[in-house]
Amino acid sequence: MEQQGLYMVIDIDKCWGCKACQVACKQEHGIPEGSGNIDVIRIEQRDEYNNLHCDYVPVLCNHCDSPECMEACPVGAIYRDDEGLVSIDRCLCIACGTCVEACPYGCIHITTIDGEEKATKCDLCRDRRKRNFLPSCEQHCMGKAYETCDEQRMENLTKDRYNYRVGRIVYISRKLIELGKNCG
Amino acid sequence: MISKKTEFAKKLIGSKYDTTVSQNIIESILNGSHKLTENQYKKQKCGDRIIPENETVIPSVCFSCHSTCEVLIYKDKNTGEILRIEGDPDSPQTRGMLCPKGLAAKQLVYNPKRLLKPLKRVGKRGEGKWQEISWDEALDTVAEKLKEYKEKYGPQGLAILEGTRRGWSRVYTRFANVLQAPNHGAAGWAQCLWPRLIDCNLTFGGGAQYGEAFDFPNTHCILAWGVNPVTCWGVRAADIMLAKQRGAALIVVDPYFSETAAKADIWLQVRPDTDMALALSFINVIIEEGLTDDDFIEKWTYGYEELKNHVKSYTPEWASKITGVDADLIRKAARVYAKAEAACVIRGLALDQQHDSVQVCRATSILASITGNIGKKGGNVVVSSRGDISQNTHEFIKADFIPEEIRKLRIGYNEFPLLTQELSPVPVAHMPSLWETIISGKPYPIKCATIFGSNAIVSYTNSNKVIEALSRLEFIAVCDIFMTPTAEMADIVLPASTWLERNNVISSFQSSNTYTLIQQKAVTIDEAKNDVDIIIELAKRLGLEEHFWENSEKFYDYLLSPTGYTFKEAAAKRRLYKPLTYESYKEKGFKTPTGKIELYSNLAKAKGCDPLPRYTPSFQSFDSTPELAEEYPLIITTGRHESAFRISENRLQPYLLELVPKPYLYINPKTARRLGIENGRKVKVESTAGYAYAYAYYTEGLREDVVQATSGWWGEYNINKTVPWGKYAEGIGTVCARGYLCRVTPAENLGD
Repeated sequence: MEQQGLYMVIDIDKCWGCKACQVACKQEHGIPEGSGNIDVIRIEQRDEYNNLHCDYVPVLCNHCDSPECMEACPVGAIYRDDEGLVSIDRCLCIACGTCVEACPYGCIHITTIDGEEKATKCDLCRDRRKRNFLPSCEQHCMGKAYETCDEQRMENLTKDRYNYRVGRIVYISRKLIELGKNCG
Repeated sequence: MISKKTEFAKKLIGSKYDTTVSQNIIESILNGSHKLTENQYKKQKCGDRIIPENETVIPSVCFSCHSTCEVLIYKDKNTGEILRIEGDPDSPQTRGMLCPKGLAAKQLVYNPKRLLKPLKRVGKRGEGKWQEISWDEALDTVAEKLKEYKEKYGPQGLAILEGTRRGWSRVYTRFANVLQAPNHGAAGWAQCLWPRLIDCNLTFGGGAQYGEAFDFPNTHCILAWGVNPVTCWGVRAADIMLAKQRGAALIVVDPYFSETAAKADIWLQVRPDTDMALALSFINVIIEEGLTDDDFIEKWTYGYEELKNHVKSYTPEWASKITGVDADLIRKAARVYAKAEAACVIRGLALDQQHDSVQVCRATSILASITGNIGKKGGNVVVSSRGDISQNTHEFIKADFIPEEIRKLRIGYNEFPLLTQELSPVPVAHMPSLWETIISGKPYPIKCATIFGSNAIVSYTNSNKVIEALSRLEFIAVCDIFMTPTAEMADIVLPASTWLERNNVISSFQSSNTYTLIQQKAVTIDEAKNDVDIIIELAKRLGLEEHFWENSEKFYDYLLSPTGYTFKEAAAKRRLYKPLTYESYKEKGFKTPTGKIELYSNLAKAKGCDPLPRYTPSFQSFDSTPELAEEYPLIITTGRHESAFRISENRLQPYLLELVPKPYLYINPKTARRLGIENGRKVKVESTAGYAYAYAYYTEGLREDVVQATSGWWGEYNINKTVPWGKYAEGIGTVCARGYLCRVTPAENLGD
C-alpha cells in the first residue's frame, strides 16, 4: 500500500482506550520503554449541561502540511517523502532535539533504536506497508479506530462527520461538535 | 506539567457534545423502528502479505488471559528467536486485533526474571536461598511429600491449589480428584465465573451457559453488566464496537465511568454491591409495563407467577434509593433492553464478587428469560461443541472418584453446597475457610500444599490471613513462571512454561462462540515445562498414571479424538468451526427439574438457598453497618482492571508496566481534596481487615462516596489485604470485594 496521498483517518468514537496501539508501535519499531511514537490520551470532562464525557484520543505525528519540525531541523534530516509523509532521515539526524521542541503536538522524541539515538516518530509503518501489512496500530486496534487510505476514501469518511486535520492524520467523530475548532 | 500531546488532545476534542446518534438509537428502539445497518467492517485489501525471508511464522493463540486471541508468532529462521508477536489479520475470531498483553508477550517469554530450573529451598522458609535441582529430584520430592502427608493426616490434609485457567486447570483438578484430595481450590471460582456458571446450572440446567455467550453480530442491544471488556476481554470489546457500528444500543452498569461506560448510550452508575436492587427493579419495570415475552414465558419458564409477586415492591423508586441511580433512568434502560428486537446481556466479575454473587447473577438471567432473549438470534445463546472432548464436565475431572465420606470432609461442604457439591462446575473447597483451617488446625490439620499458577499471597482476599496460613504449612510446592512472593514461601519451586512454549486445544465460550482454536508451541525456554506434563509426571510417581495420558501431546490428541483429527492435523487447519444454533432448547428442553427455565429455582431451594433472588443489604455499608461507616466512611471496590495487566501478572514486562506504572486508587477529586489528597499522592487505604497503599488518581467517574482500586499489585500495594472475611455469599461463599467500607488518608511516607 505504498502510495502518494496517503492519509490515516482516526475515528475518535471508536477508540476504546486500550492502548494496544502504543505497545504494537513499540514492538514494530523496536522502541524501548519510555517515550513512544503514539500515546492514547484520556480526556474526562463535563459538558455545558454537566454531563460527564470521557474520550480517548490517539496522538501521533500529524504529518503536517506545514511541518514545523522540518523548518526547525538544523541539518535538513526531516523531509517530505514520496508518499507525502513527513519523514526523518536517520543517517542525517544528529539527535539535537530541535524538532522535539518545535513539534506543537509532542510527537517527536529522542530514543535509542538498534543502538542509535535518533529523533523518532511515526512513519505510518512504511516498512510494514511495503510488505502489504497494515500499520501495526491500525491492525491491532480493538475498536478499528484507525484506517489508512487514499484521498478519496478519506473524503468519504470525513463527509457527514465532524473532522479535523493539519496534515495526513484526519480525526473524525459523530459527537465532538468542536473537533479541531480550538486548534487555531 | 501537561504534555504537548495532552494539550493537543484537549484542544482537539473541545467541550461540546452532539448526542444525536445515541439518542436516535434509544428513541428508535423505544418506538419500535430500530434497524441494524449492515456489518460495516470491511477487511482491507492489502495484497498478499510478504514475510521477510529470514523469518518463519507460527500461528498460535495468546493465552495472556481467557480471551485467547489468535496470533502470529514471527521467529528468526536461523536463531529460532521470537522477533514479534502480532494479531492474526486473517482470524475470524479477532480480525487482527491483539491487546497490550499479547503484544508485549515477548517480554514475558524472554523475561530475565523467569524461573528456568527447579529449585529447592536451602535456607529458612522465605529467606530466598535456593539450590537448583533436577526435575526428577523436584518431582520425586513433591510426590513423596504428598504421599507422606496423605498417609499421616488423610487425603483431607492436602491442599491442592491453583490459580487461573491456562489450559491445564481441569487436568490439575482431575489430579486432585484421583488423589482423592477433597481440598482442591483456587483464588477464583467462588470469586470468578463460578457464580455465573452456577446461576446457569440453577436457572437453565445442565451446564447450559446461556448467560455466557452473546450473539453480538445480530443484537440490537447490549447490556454490559459489571464488565469492562476493553481491559480484560479484548475480543469481546472488538465485537461490541462492531455491534455499535451496526447501530446496537449499549447499556452499561458500572460504578465507574469505565472505558466501556464512556461509550454507552445509557450508563447506570450503580453504587457498588447494590446491583441486585437494580436488576430486580429492571424486572419490576418489565413486568409492570407488560414488556415481557409472554409466549416464551408460558412455554419455557417455570415460576413466573411467583416471580411476578416477588418483584412487586422492587420499584425503580425503591431501587434508586439503594443504588443511587435515577428511577427514570432505570425505567428507560429497562424499556430499551426489553423492547429491543433482540438483546444480550454480558456479565463480568463485578457480579461474581458481590455479597449475593449467585443470586444477583440469577436476577440477570431471569431478566434475559422473561424478555425471551434466551437462545434467540441476537440474544444470549449457548455454544455448541465443535466435537472435541470438553474438559468442563464432572466426568472429565473425575469428580465422583472421591468417596462420599471423604467428599463430605471438604472444607465448606455443608455451609457452601453450591461451591462444594454437584452443582458446582468444579466442586471445590471454600478457600477462606480452608486458609483458616490451615491456621487453626480445626477441624483437622492441613500441612501440605501444592500451588500451581497462583500467586496466592496476592490473589486471595484478606491476604494477611493467607500469608499467615502459608507460614503454618510444613511443605509447599509452587509451580509458576516467576519467583512470586508466594513462590518465595515454597520448599520446592517448579518452573512453568509460558503460553508461547506450549501446545493447547482451546474450546471455550470465552474465546469464541463458534471456533475451537489451536495453540502451537513456538519456542522452548531452558527447563520450563508445561503444567500438564508436570501434573502427569507427578501422577506417575503417585501410581495414578492410569487416569492420565503419556504426556501433554497425547492429551491434546485425546481431546481432539472424536473429531477425527490429530493435534498436528488440527493445527494445520488452525481452527475447528461449528455455527451457532438458535433455539436449541426446542429440541432438548432445559435440563432443570421442571425441564424449563427455572425463574423459581427448585435446585437452589433444595440447597437451602433463596429460590427467587431477593435483595439483601451489603455486609458493610452506610445503611447496614452505620457505626462502622463512621470509622470507615467510604465504599471501596477493588474492581478496576487495566488493559496492561491480568490480575497479579504482567508487572515485570516493561511495555506493560509503563502503561500503568503505579497502583492507583481512583477517587473523586472532591472527596480527595476534602481529605487533603492531591492527585498522584500516595495514600493509605484501611479497612476492618488491614491496610494497603496506592496513589490517588482523580476521576469524576466515581461517586463522591466511592473509591476504586486495582487488585494484583504485590507487597504493600496489595489491596486484597483490605478485603474482609467473615460474611460470605449464600450457598457459594463468595467474599465481597466489590463494596465494603474503608478509610483513605494521605500516606505517612511518600514512597517512590
